Parts: sequence; C-alpha cells; structure tokens
Amino acid sequence: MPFTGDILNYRSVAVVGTAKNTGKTECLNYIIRQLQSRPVTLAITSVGIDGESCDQVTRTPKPEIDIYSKMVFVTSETHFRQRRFTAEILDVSGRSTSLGRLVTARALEPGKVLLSGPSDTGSLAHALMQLRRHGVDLTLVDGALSRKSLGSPTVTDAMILNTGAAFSANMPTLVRKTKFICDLIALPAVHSTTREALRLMETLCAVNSQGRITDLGTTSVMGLDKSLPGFLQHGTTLFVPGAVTDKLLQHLIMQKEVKQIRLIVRDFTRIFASQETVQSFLNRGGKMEVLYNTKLIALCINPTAPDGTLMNSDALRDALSEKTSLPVWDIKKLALQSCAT
Amino acid sequence: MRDLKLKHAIEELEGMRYMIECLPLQAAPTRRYLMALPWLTNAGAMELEFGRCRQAIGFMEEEADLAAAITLRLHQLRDIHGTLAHIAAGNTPDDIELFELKHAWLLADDIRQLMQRSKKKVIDIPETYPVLQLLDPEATRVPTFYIYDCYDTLLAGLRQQVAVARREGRKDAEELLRDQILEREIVVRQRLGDDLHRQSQLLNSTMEALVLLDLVLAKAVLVQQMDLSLPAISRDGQTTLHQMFNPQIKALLKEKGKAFQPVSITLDSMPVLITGANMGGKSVLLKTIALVQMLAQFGFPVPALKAQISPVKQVMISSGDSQSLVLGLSSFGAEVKRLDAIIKAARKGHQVLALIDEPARTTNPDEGEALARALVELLSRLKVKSVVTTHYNGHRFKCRKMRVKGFCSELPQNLTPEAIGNFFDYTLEPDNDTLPRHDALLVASLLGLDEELIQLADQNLNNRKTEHTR
Repeated sequence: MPFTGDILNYRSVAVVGTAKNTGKTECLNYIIRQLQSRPVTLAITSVGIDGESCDQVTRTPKPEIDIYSKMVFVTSETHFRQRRFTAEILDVSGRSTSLGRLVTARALEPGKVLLSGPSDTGSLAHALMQLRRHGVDLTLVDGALSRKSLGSPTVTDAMILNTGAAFSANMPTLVRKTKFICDLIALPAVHSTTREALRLMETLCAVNSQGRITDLGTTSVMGLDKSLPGFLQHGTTLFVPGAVTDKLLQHLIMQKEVKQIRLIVRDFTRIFASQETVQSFLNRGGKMEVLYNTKLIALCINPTAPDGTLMNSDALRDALSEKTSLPVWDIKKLALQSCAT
Repeated sequence: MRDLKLKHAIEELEGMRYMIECLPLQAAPTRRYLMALPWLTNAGAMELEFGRCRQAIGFMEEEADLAAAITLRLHQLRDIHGTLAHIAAGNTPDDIELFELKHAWLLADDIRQLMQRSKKKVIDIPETYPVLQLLDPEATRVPTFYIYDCYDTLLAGLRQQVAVARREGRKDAEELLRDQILEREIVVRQRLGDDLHRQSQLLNSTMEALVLLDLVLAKAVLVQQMDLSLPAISRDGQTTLHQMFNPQIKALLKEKGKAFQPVSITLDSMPVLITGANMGGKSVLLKTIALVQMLAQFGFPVPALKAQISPVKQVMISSGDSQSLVLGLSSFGAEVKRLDAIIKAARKGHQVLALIDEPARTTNPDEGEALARALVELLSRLKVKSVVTTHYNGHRFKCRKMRVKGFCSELPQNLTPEAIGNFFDYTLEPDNDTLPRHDALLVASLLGLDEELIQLADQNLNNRKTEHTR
C-alpha cells in the first residue's frame, strides 16, 4: 500500500494541514484503515487542537476519527465520555486540559472518537513516551499548524503535510506556498548541544563562534533596529524564542553582517514571516536553523475545496512532486483504489 | 477559638512552613490530608503518634528494601478524594472514576501485602478484598478498567449481538444494539456504585491509612535528614528543651560553612525573661520554641537532642515583625492587640504558651519599660507559661531571668561583621540580677558604624552613669 509502509519506520508521525479542508481527517482515517491489518499497535492523539466539537470558523461539526479494535487513543475526559463503543481505560493523566484530564484507552471494538489530546508540546512529548510504555509501536498525531497553538507537532519523528484547493484556488500559487512550507519543515536542526543549551531560554540570545551564549534580556523584537548592532557584537548566531516576523527579518537584512547571521528558531511553526521576506533573508546570505525538526515524508492533496474549486488532481500532484521531490498522494483516489481492490 | 489546623500553623510560623515543605511525601493525597491535621492536646494521642514514628524509624532502618518498595507504590497513588466523595454521596461513578479507584486499590493491596511482611507495627492497612473483587472481577490485577462482560450476562449478550450485526453489516441493528448496550452499562454502573457505596467507610479508612503511612514514613526520613528527635510528653506542666536548634537557620548556616549553636531551656508555668545583646539570637530562640511546641502538638518529631513537651491549648506569638500593615495598625497598635489576646486567653484559664519578643519596644522607653514590667508581673500572677525577651534593664523585672552569654571576653582585632557569630556564645545562663551589659555599642562598632557616633554615644552613657551616682 502506498506510503503506509514508510510510516511504519517511525515511532510517531504527525499529520498536519496547510489549511482547513485540505483532507487531514481523511488522510488520518486512510492511514488507520491501511494499518488495521498490520501487526502493529497503533495509537492516535492530537496536539494543539482546542477540542471544540464544532469548528469555530466554519461552524461545521468536527470530524470524528475511526478507531478499530485494539487501537489505543488519547483524548480528553469530555470526549472520552461521548464515545459509543467499549474501551478499556489504561491511564488518566494528572494534568488537565480545558476539556478535562487526558484519558488513554484501548478500543475493544471499532468506533469513532473526537480527539482532544495534549495542548502543548511538552505534554505531547510526555504522552508519546507514555504510549510506548503501554506497548504502542506507532502514534499518529493530528496536528495543527496554527500560530495560536501552543503545541507544536515537531516533536514527532515524521510528518505528513496535507494541502489542496482550500489553501489556494490558483494552482501555481498553491504549489509555491506549499513548497515554502516544505522548505521551512526541512530547515536544518542545530546540534544537540546547542539545542540543550537553548531549549529552556525564553529571551533573545546571541551565540558567538565559541558557542558562548549571551542572554540579551528581551523577549520582544520591538526597537530591535536600534539594539541589533549591539546584540550582534555578542555573536552573529541569534536565538529567537518566539515568533519570527517580517519585521525581525527586515531588520536582520539591513545589517552589514547579514551574511554571517544564523537565526535559530524553536521550530518551523514559529516562522510567521512571508515567503518573500524569508527568501530575501536567505538570498542575502542569512541562515536559518531550528531547535526541533521533523522529517517530512509525504504530501497529501485534496484537489477540491468547499467553495466548489476543483483542480486537476494529476496535474497538481505532478507539479508538487516536481517542486518538492516528495511523494504526493491524492487520498480520495487512493481510498477509491483500495475499495476497488 | 477556631480549631487549629496545620494549614493555619504554617501561615503563622515560617519555620513550620519550612518543615512541612521539607517533608518527603510520596502520595498525592497526603498534602491535602496534612493541611487538615488537628492540633493535639491529648497526651495519649500524641504518644500514639510518636509511637508510630518510632516504629517507622525502625522500619526504614531495618527493612529498607520493604520500605523502598512501599515508597515506590505510594508515589503512584493519586488524589481521588473527588471520586471517594462522589461514591460516599451515593452517586453513580463513571468509568474514569472506577478506573481511578481500581488503580488505587491495586496499589493499596500491594502495600498491604508488603506491610504484612514487616516485623514492625507502623500502620494497619484495612482489608482490600471487598473493594477489589468489585473492580477486578476477573482477578487479573491489571490496572486498567472497563465495564467487564462478567458484570452482567445481559450486557455480555448484547455485546455479542452487536459484534455479529457489525460483521454482517446490519447498520441499523448495530446502532439499536449500541443504544441498548449504553443503557445496560448505566444499570451496571449504578449497581457497582451501590455496592461501593456500601463500602464507603472501608474506602475512606483505607485511603486514610495509606496517607497516614506516607506521612509517618516521611517523618521518619526527616528525623534522619535533620537529626530530629521524638519528644516525650510531660504531665507535670514542665517543658524541657535540650540542645534545641532551628532547622531552617541551621541549613542556611551550613551553606555558609557555619554551625548552628544549639540552646537549652526549661519552661514551667511562669514567665522567663531573656536578655542579651543584639544579634544574640533572642528572636530565633522564641521562634524555635514555638516551632518545637507546634511540631510536637501536630505529632511531628522536633529539632532538639531531647525534648519533654507539656501540651498547651495554644501557642501565642507576639513579635515585632508580624504583619501589622495588613490590619492597618501601627506596630505598637498591632502589638497591643496581640498582648491583649494573650492576657484574655490566660484570664479564661486557657493553657497557653506565650512567646513575646521585646514588648513595648516601639514606644517611649519610660512607658515602654513600665509596660513590659507590668506585663511580666501579670503573666506571673496569671501563671502563664511564657518567654519574654527585652532590652530593658533586666534587674528591674521580677521573674525568672536568663541571659544570652554573648561575646567571648577576648575578641580578635579587625573582626569582620560576618565573623561575629564565631565569637558569640548563644547559650543561656541564669541571670542573677547583674547590672545590664552594654553590648549594643560593641555590636554597632563591629558592624562598622561611624566611629565618632559611637564615641559620642559612649560619652552619653558615661555622663548618665555619673548623674546616677550623684
């Protein structure tokens, strides 16, 4: 079966979407269906999804995830109670989300469940570890690429990105914007010693060529235009604990040392700058790295959008495949094929 | 007077908070229980608790492996007071609550079996079987839970039918059966809830025993870590504190490579006046006496080599640094309130231990001294077990008097302020109405106060002495 074999090489895989209605839930359900017959213990949870059963933007009910017998899932107390199938509780977390504590359970028969897993990155990492202790081989994570989300799916081993007509109705734009996200996901990770040194920092830091870290004592990039030259004297590697915005990159571009500047970001979801600005920073010789990265293993496409836009699936697949050199799958097509066989 | 609980005591005395924070508790529910610990005034109850502590200390020393195994399990115990209260009130528990209960009771059963192997009698854990047989009907001892088929034959039958309907793809039938299953599960939960409700008393006493075990083992660890001792209960009203120390200050000094000098004192039902130089540890002494008394009366080991404690109804502290600002009173106003409360309690015949730091020091010295002397006199008349510190001339007070020994006779040249403590004897000696010592100027000078200022003060002092002799 396409790409489900690949997934089995990892202990945790996040499934994320470039926008709503790009087919994330279908993708998850497809993977689950494909893995059902494999001799692996599969678990599923979500991160950074606020867990409302009704989508706040489109007012459509949130999709439920298919669970098969023996599969493990992590969701909030509230959603656990709403299920309509028998499940054996394995654990109840001490920490609470807005929807109550997290329940880890094993399905004893097939059913559907709403996922509302850990809300922040740390809790997700902890949950992934706990799931291994319960004998889980692979955990799928329903993730969000939202700037409002505290939970980043980058602590998983691998990632699948869903994109489609709902992200942009114009194919060249869609391909360009998707390629940009792929590039961000592919940003190189810093050395593990640097990561350990910077992991808990919550302020802007400079690192010099000897690896010495100077805490610049500010969290905001306000007024950075004046203080930046001073900051760069402590080292041309800058760690930004929060968001990387257009404004920040524009300040960096204006520095005469721009060629030497290495910008370290927590993970790619913290980069909110536009493609043009990021490109301009990189073109001028600046470098960007992340504390945590994950391996993007495939793109999944949904050529239709709720507003009626319909793209040619094959053309979109070929264009994306050419630009990103990644395997690209149309999940609906795959699902139809697997039904036919 | 409100019933004194540990949570009030830690608000009142910083040293008490320190001790409680140092307790190496394992189980999540223990802290809640701990805060509600009552003030013990009954000698028998106190002795029972110290007897338990003694057993626990022996247990930790002689059966360390068993103790480690129990500690590990206590650490996994979660706070399920909400679930227990829910069941006690006769409500139907949900699957998550039943899981929590089963998880806790498997641990309780383990701990009970481990405790039974011990030669010591620390705490008896009640029988766990009546609850476990409800929650682990198949006796698998796996810490997971769902409404098991064996709870109800009707439910088991429905579940078989739904599996068949699913296999055969009969969607409507499947949904109908699901509704019936959910209904039936509610019936089973209600039945289970009723059965557990009947065991409410056992549920609560078992949880209390586990928490008590955690607490007493934590006390035993603290005894070893801090060199604490278990006090004896005195029945003649006399309190003897031998080589007492303040753990918090001892730890601070240890960080600086210094040692805490222990102090001994005996208290009967009369006031004791303590005089001595500034920085002589008088305030620390009062706070430590309060700490020892409070720890003992909450059933904790105490920071002293040996202690005999006479239980009191209340420890009442009056010190200059209490939070008078909160009440919107001046420091004198706040003090007056506190002193009045002590006298009122004494007049009602309450057995109190009053610890009064430098009474009336913030007002004019003539009236201040008059007030302080009157206070000591009244405390004597009312037979109040109390310790009063003062800088006023001790020989004018009528009561038992003690003095902080103070500086060694020979002080080295160029003594730094940090090293003052090394040449200071903090022990107490009886003060037989000797003339007051003037150590304040010496201390000020050692702390580096302006020389001219010291000289002028010294002159003033000499002038006054001459006036007095005239």
